[in-house]
Amino acid sequence: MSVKMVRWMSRWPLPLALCGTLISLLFATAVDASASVPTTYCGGRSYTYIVKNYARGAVALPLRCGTSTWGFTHITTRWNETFDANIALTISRGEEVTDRQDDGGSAIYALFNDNCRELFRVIYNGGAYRGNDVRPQGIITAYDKSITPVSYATPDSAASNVTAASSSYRTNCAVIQNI
Amino acid sequence: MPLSLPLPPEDLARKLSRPLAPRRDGLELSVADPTLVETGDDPKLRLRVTVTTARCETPEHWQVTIPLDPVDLDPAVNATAFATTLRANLEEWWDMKDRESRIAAWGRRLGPEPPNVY
Repeated sequence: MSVKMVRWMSRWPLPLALCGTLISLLFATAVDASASVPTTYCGGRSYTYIVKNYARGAVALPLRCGTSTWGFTHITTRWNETFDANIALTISRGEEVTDRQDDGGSAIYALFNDNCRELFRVIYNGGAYRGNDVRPQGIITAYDKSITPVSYATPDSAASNVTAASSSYRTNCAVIQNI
Repeated sequence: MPLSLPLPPEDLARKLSRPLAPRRDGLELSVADPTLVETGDDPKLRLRVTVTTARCETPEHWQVTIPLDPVDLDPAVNATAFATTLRANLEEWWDMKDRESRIAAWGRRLGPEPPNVY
């Protein structure tokens, strides 16, 4: 550091300290909230925009910005690093149940623990959302089924309860029970 | 231009009554009277839902109001995708209504008997 710079910094200690603190806070917030992308990621982006793709074997399943009923916008209040990881794990290693709607596209991915208790669920539509422009629609919703009921968990407390990504899990549980 | 559903209400009710896939809990949601409720730029879909599960065969009657996005009501949106999305929302409501207040707010229990007045 040059002598000139030291002199300049000694003349402005408080503003520099404040700037440093502000930059640190901004950086920390961005990292904490981001998971792979921050919760504000879809602000100003089209609903068709692909936030990220999740892999199931060689197939890529998109999560689009979507709307209040589906996609990233629909699950923003749950979004954090663990939630993102749980979606990835559930899609890549969970059970897949294909649709009964005869629409050729919807599927449910479910992750189970060692006792075949469902931990996490992703609902997906591989069909088009609008004409052939938005195909596939992608992830409609995802949610953690391991949160204790009747807690009305807030997103923050829900995040602390999410354990699917760190728990042992199995993939041979029966998702289907014939009705 | 007033917003409208992308398919007739009776067709939508029929599609929403079909499960996306069989479930371990045997959940069956029978949907009736889908009605579009417009409040400015915040359209909502109001439904009457009768719920039975393998654990509890006594039907529960609910009124469920799902907040929509005007984009979802664009005439170019596929009716099948619209119905699939809302059916997913309904199953999510059932799974999460005791876990997230935001989702719980969608539903209002009408009581054990079918309501005379909806």
